[in-house]
Amino acid sequence: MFDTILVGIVSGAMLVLPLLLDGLERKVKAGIQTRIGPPVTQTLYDFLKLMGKEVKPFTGSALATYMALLTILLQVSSLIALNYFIIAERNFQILFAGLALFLVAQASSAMTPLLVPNPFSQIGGYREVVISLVNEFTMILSIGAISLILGGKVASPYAYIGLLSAMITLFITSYVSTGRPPFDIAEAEVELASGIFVEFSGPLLAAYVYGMLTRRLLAKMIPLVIILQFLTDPGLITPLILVPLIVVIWLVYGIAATIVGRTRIDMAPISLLKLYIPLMVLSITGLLIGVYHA
Amino acid sequence: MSEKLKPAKLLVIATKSGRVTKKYPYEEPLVSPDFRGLIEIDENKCIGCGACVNACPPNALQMISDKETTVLRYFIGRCIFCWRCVDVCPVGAITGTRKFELATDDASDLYVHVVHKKPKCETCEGQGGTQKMLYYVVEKSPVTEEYLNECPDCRKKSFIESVAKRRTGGVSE
Amino acid sequence: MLRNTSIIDKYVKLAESSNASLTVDGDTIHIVAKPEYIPGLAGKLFNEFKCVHRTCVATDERPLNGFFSLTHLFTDDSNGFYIALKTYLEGDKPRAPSIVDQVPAADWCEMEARDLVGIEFEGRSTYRLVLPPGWPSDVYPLRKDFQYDKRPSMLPVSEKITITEESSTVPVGPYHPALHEPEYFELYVEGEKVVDVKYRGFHVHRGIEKLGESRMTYQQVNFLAERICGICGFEHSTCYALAVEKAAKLDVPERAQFIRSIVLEVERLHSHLLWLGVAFHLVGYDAGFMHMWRIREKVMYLSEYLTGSRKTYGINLVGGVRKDINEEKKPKILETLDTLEKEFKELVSIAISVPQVKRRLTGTGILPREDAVKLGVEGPVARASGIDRDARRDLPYAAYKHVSFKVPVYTEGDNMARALVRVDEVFESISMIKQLLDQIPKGPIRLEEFDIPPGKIGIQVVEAPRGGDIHFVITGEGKPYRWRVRAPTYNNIPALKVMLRDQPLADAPLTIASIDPCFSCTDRVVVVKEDGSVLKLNLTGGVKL
Repeated sequence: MFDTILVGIVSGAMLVLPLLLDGLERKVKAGIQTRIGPPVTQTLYDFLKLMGKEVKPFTGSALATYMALLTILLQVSSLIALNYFIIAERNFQILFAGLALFLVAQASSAMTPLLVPNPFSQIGGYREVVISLVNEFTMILSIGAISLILGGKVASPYAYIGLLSAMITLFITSYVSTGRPPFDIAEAEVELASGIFVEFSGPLLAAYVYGMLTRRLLAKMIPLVIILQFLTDPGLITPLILVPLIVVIWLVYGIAATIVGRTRIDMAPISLLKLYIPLMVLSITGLLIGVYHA
Repeated sequence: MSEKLKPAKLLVIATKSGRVTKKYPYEEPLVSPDFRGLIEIDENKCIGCGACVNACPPNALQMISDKETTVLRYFIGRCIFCWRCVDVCPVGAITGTRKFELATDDASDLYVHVVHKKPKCETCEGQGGTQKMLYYVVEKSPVTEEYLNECPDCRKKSFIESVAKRRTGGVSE
Repeated sequence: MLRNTSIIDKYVKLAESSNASLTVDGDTIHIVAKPEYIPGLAGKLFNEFKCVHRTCVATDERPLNGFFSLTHLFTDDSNGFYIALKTYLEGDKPRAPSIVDQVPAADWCEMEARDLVGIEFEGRSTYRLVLPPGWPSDVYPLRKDFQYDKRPSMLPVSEKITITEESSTVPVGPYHPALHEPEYFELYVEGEKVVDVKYRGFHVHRGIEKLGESRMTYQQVNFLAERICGICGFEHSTCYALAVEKAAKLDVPERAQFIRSIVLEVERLHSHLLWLGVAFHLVGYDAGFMHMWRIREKVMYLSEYLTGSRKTYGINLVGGVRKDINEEKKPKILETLDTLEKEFKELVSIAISVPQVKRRLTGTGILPREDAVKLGVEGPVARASGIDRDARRDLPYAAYKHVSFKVPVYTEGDNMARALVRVDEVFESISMIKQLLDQIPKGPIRLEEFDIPPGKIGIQVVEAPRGGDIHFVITGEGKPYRWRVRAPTYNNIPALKVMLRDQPLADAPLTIASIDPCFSCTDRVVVVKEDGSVLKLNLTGGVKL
């Protein structure tokens, strides 16, 4: 009982984290670009201001609003499931439920711009779908490989190499799913008047952006949760270690995003596959060798 | 391998430069000593000759006359700060400053007027030029003092009459 | 001078073969012919003599001699001559033969002459180019009986592009907040590939030529010319001053020419650094954009230190310059240039090595050499497609005969080649400024007393950061009788139709930006109508990668 209340409190506190961390990232990005940048609470102010604006309907706005709210709901549920896993009890079914909710939230977030009949939304939506297809599939594969290697209690060194390469793949997929440069092409080109955001305004835009930022939070939480569950016992200590680690990884991803450019839709899946296929082949080979030795 | 890591050298450049944003308007603006800003017209020196009005490309300086006065009007909104007026003023009445913070919410702040009196012609009661211009001409060449009381048209007529009197005894009707 | 006379003899023979009269005035060859010989002469000049067609000028000379006149301006780059091919047209509805089938680059300027002066061209399809669609059809602004501040009554015409489920038209512009200047491109896409492009520009036609002929005096037009463009303004005012000085045969002091050249190169630096920043921003590499403009800030401070203003320098007058470069300014200039060169080299080597930047710039927006020659493109766009042309070396003006510099030429013709041409030009400009500062002579900076006789013609080409800019002046009483400006982007925009075909949509803004468009310079209204077949395909058919 006490555990459930604790899970609720921690999840509630973590709901405001994406906005503050995004503001911090913008400050760091501005520092790399030698300017002062907005204050750290800027994203929070923007969110509150947008929520207060009038609601402007357009073709497909009802469906888009529904999908955006659904995305947020799924992501919050995933957050609660992951928190339950690390605070209350290490029930692996809850962990996989949380992961599944996260992946479904990705799908509904990719659907939202496709429901708007504006050519820019369509272009942006299709680009996001293409990236997600390659990325999410690899994320599932790498999580599967990690759980199989760790669950099978194999001790062969090849298995550890396989584990390492699967972990690297997991971190890379988590970076790509946050929608940062070089893979932020869903917003299309700046000169072509943006992509998926073109029709959104007011509370709908606030909800969609909040969904995007929460996705970033979850994408960073998942690899860390999988690592931390070996090192700590269930309880309050885990979130206390987890949150600073999330902050650190968020800033590292932000710095990496600042020093690269934006890729192109036809180059993106090819470059991703060129990176993922060798890594996953290595990790599956390690898994099979470990299974063979066991 | 170092080819792949080259983009990260940007971080080195960024730390060397620091933050270059200046905190203007909370600190002094960064204008060089040669910056061309607002012009200021000295009312005491201006003679109303209109050389600056001829030279001004966007017509920011204009001469507006009515029966008694001529007004030199400087509209800051049109000024392009080229300082041609500073170049051509014969008496050096226009000086340039480095001011550029000119925004205001009242358009009448942007007009500067210098008022001149027009001289009266004895013969025809018409007017032309300004009184200060006549004083300036007299200073430069004292012999003109005798002709100053007439406007240019009457001056022309009396000159033709005096030449005609010397040559032929009078102007024929 | 033997070489010169043999070349002039060739032109004399050409003129005699068409019963035309030829006069040589300094480095300008004036050929006056009857209208029916013009296409033949123009074709021979373009194909045999390998001259470059710059523009054509239509003038209402009825107050002077009762005729309209049409002048085609060519330059012979390998020998350093300007060629003005003039013809007189009779009547109030003049007709002239078109040279478009021999010289495709003359397309837009003929239509502009038709819109503004009313000359009908025979032998080609005509359309309205410069004026808005609702303008009354027999009011010609550049005729002498049209007052510059008259406003004819116009019916506004509005057009809508229908964006529906089936259409796959992606509009870019014209009044979008993300765009820097008003332009309007309609990109017809098939999936993510651009199959065709329709351009309409000239939304900021300001009537500068008419203003220069009516309300302004000679010295005032300098300031007007500087405001034709916000990035390359100084070269417009220099070109105008040089054209008038050439027409009136004024002997401008050497020191003034040196100062003009130094400030021209400073302007080239700032323009290329600006373009590189914008190119990085379009690829998504915003950190490169910020750093490049941080470096450019040093150039802006240098401009203010030398001329008194960060842009629109206002130091040019007919007869010289207004502001001197004192001795105590030299050390600061040299120190700024040294830090600039070091930082720029470092930043460019980092930025080009970012994999996304390199892969997106290479191989996109290709312009083959034959198309480049036919369309008459200018500047870095031409030099990146293998055409070795630079007005500073071929038609030397101001103090450029005293400096030695290389002209960078690349042959690939893609966006990366255009970027590298500009990077090389930055280094060349820095070395040129140092050489000029070394050799600057002492003396006056301005001609005090001079006289400009009416009725003379002056033509000058100046190499702007974007290409060759040409000004044509016929002197009048106290103010120009006719002033014609053709900015370099005017010739580069038609090349976009070739460059944008079969490119991915994501590279369209980058390709459009790679010609470094300066729509304010281009300054004339354009509607490019197509009568070809364009497939409008169904976007719901899926994304073809």
